[in-house]
Amino acid sequence: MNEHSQFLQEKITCVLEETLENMAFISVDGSSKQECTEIEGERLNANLLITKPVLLEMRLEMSRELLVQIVETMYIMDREEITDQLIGDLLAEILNTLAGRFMTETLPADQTFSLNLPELTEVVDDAPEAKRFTYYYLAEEYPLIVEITMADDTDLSIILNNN
Amino acid sequence: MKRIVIADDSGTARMMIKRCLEIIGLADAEFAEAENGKEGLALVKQQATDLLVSDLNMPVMDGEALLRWVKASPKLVDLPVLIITSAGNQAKSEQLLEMGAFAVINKPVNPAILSDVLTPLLNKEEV
Repeated sequence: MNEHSQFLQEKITCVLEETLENMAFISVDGSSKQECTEIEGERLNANLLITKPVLLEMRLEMSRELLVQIVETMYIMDREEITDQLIGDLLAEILNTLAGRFMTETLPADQTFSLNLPELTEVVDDAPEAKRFTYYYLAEEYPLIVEITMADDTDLSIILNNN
Repeated sequence: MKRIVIADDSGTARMMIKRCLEIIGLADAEFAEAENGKEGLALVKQQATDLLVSDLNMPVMDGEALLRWVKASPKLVDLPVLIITSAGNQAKSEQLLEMGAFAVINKPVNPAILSDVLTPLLNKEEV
């Protein structure tokens, strides 16, 4: 399982770096559960279901403050102008981009895939740990967590067998 | 003045695309925004449009259906449709190009990529 986790982490890290660098010139560093937990502040969470050719869920948890700073950078907006809707929308868009890039990186070029629409949600801790892979990062010193939950081992095998 | 319709369910993505288009020289264009393919189709039917930029994954009507409707309409068939998506690997891109998309580019979008893709259109002064 560690070997699989390392493979997924490499892919996630790669697409996360690419996405945040392109969107907002933000770099990310690996972190730990403990380090991310110790950093205070409001977090927002979004989930997205990938339905074909594998069934898996990707979750993105980001610091609200980081999202505000990204909006400020990207759109040259004053903090007072930034609404909760815009922040949630940005989180969903980052997750959507991450999921698409992750599938593109892990599947063969001739394999199409289907993503559902991202949803802003509360964190629900209900998946067996063996099927869940959680990765912790710091972006501009704010916590950022990416989690992949596989429906079952078959889905993990499909991803691994393609690589 | 050029008219550009941007169809994307994400307000953030629409803002980002608009900003990139402004940076590459389309700041004086008239932009119309749609939250899904159905709204996008209504906007391009309403008024002559020079470019339709669309996401793929959208509620109500997705970008693929929007592209099919546009290319099936004798009045809209020549409208360049640029697909900007996070779900566009090689297989999907080829499929969309065969369906008549002008180009398919992956999110996250940036001005340099958009400029590369749209330069042929801009040079022809069609956009």
